[in-house]
Amino acid sequence: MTTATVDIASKTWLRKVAGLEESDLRGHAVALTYYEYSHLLDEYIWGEWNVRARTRQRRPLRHTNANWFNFATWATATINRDIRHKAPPFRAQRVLPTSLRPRLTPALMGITAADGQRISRALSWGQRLVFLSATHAFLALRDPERRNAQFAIPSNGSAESDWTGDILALSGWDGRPSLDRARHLQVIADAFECYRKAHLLVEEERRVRQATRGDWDWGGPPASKAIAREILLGNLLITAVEQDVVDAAVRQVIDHVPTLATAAATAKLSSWAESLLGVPRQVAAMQVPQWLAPTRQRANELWARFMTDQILIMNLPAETLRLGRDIPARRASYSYFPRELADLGDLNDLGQLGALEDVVKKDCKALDLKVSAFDRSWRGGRGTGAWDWRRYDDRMNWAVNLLRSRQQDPTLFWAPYRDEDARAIRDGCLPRSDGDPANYEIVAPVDGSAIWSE
Amino acid sequence: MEEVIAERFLQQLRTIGDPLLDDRGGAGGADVRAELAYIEEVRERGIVDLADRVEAHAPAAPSATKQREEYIKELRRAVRGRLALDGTGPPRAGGPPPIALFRPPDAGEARRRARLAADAEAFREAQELFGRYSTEISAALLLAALPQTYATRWGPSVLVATGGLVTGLRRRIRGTAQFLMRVMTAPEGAARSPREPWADAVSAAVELRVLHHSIRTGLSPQARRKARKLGLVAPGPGEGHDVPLNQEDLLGTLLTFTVTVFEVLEQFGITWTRDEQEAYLRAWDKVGAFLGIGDADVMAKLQQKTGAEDKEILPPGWTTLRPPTVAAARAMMAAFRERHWIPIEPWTGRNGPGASSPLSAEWESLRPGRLLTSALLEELAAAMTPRTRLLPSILMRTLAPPVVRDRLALGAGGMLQALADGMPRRRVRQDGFTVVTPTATFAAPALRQTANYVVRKTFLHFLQDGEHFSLPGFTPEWQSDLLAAR
Repeated sequence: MTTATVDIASKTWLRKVAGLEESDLRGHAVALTYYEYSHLLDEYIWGEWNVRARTRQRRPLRHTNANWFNFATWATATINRDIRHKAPPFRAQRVLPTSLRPRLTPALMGITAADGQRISRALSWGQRLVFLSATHAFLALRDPERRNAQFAIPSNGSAESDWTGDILALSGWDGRPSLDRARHLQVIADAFECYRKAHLLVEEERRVRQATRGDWDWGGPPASKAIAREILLGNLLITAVEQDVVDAAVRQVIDHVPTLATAAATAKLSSWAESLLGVPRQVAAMQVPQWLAPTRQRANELWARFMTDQILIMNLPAETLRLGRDIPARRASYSYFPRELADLGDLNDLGQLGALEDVVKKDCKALDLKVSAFDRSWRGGRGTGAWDWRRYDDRMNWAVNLLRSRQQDPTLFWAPYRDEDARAIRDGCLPRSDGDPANYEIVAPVDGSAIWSE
Repeated sequence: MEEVIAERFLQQLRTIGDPLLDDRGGAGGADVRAELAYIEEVRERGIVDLADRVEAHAPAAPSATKQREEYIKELRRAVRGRLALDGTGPPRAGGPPPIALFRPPDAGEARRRARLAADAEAFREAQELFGRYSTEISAALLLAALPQTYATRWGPSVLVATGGLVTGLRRRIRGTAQFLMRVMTAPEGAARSPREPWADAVSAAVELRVLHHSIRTGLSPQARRKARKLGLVAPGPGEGHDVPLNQEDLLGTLLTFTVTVFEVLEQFGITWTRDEQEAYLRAWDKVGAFLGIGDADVMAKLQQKTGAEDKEILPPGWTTLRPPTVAAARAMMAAFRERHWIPIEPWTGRNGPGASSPLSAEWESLRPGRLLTSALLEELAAAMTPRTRLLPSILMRTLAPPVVRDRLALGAGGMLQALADGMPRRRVRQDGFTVVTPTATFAAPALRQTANYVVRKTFLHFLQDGEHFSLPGFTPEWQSDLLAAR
């Protein structure tokens, strides 16, 4: 049965998605929402220069700047595969020897489904928390009433409606919110304020062009360092919060196999203790985990490294990145970072800043310091690969380089679902294809640049 | 359990700099301009250059420079005067010896002479130890002690605020290396008095004290406000009245020269006798005295601030604020670490509202240390070949305790490192019940050799760079040969 289609940019839709019990469908709904919001945020920032409009007008894209929702779309598409649990992890099949694959794949599926599908539940709960915080903040940013005001969390007693209320209410478990207003939502608000400043800078560029040339569209979207950096700062802040929020879920997922192995060993040893020594199974089961603790800790460490190095990936529309390996340059002949983001300490020629000059320069300095604090790689992407994905610093080191090196990758704006599938998801039905780039289910949009610009 | 200085006194030590220089009557008077000009110059050129230049008696210096030099000399005189009063003054060419040798000593003087003789003996032994293990000790300081100080709660913000990250860092590393060499290298030739093996250490300590004083003065409230505006200094509870390079930070840093060095040497599989350790500690205690760390002036100031008596402040057996034994030094260091290395609590979702610090505040407090670490790694990586560029970060991670790895975002290390960390350790029985786990038989020598390689390459890089980095005993001709060979 199909339900009435809801506007995707509304709180009703967000509540509907957050309330979906079926993790599989919710994963698709989240990816679709992120995809739509990536274009809406792009439109908010760039106005008539947005990617969707330029593609429809058959004009070259030039200087696209992906926002956080673009990256989130593909991260979601990647983990949806594990939430769905219809196939083993993408890289797992490659790690297994071909001759053993038919035997080991079912065993692998059994392991990942064990303990009440803990992996799937942990992933979908983490996904839900991130979804709630970012999407509600974006809707608040688009609220016409807030259009010209600084974006922040309304103070107590303020006449403004509090956009954090729904997030805290919906993210709760056992009566306690899983997100913290000061720790997380404040940073999310700062991030969306960066997007708002990017929007104001675009307006300023347009105003100056209109005044000097009489044509605001002359030369297409500006390659402004200030706009690119405000967007990167926004992306970085939301990613930092998102990684903090999902920390516990990531640990659960990566430690799953050693935990399972310890539980199995405990069960076996306890039953032996009962049959051979006459010690009740329950009593032995209390002691055995203590004996196994040092071994388990070593196994956890090694397993986490193995998972990070061999199994974990992120699928982007046109490439698959391994989390345990250095992020490669988009093309060998390109510089590693886009020109506007190459030297973050350089504050010259930032673009048209107008009245925002002081604020934007302060943000650029803050961005430089933040990136330096998270990034421990050196030139050319060496040292970007993570060693242990359970660690926040490892994840952020990888993520900060991904955001910076891929911000101007236009393929991030591609759709994960065909129109028909998107309609199905909106109507509460599962799509026919899963939007998984690893299975080549992504179709590129009509784009003349494939012939004319390369 | 060893007793150490109580937390409330440590907190008060954060408000004390170097009373001897900071409380000088002239500091706020007529020579303020000279002082500020000097500070400016220190920032631009560094203490090493400046010390060389002042010693060289530049001819026909303009009046401003003369005024500056007079000011520095006055500061030096103040420090040397105090050290002479304490009985550890520098050698006086042609003058009477600091200790009257030709009249029958009274009981107090005999005790003082015996103490000085014992100090000299310990200092010489420490210099011999340093001579034998100079590369390993340098590795310990460069790859473990330095990052560990960056992981502290308050110290790094001062370092970041006192100058350019990279140029400032390079100057600091070189300055520290040179200080270490001057202090720990035994003076050559018979001209030096065997009774005072610390002759060079006194001169080096005087220069360093003057530099610290200038940084303290230079970090005026305006400078701190600017640093805070740039996001380099994180305001924290009770931090508002901290003095830069205060006595707590200095005491903590002094202990890294002994306790951290011992810990790292142990990881390298090197063992010292208890007497050797005590001698090394005693030598650095002497250097601490030259640097005015926890001395009588500081005690007086602390008493004045807290109204407490000596016996309340000092644990039993202590005569100054510096720990007298290796056990006490280790305990004191543990207390510092507990106070400064605040673990980063991950968000579990169950923390509850207000139970965790805001993310932005957490980043602010960690940022200076991480920036310094990444600048340090960049500097070390520059000295390596392309294939060995990862070694400094691997070593730094291996030598750092987990909390330091987290605070400095050093990462987890790869599969090999996890394997090495997880290797089962040998257990050696000490008595009927006690066992200890010494360092891994195979890993320790490998770690030591790798660290030695990194240190040699780094020092060679510094020497070849030609930026006024020289080592005692290395002639300028040798260094120019090295430069030519680059």
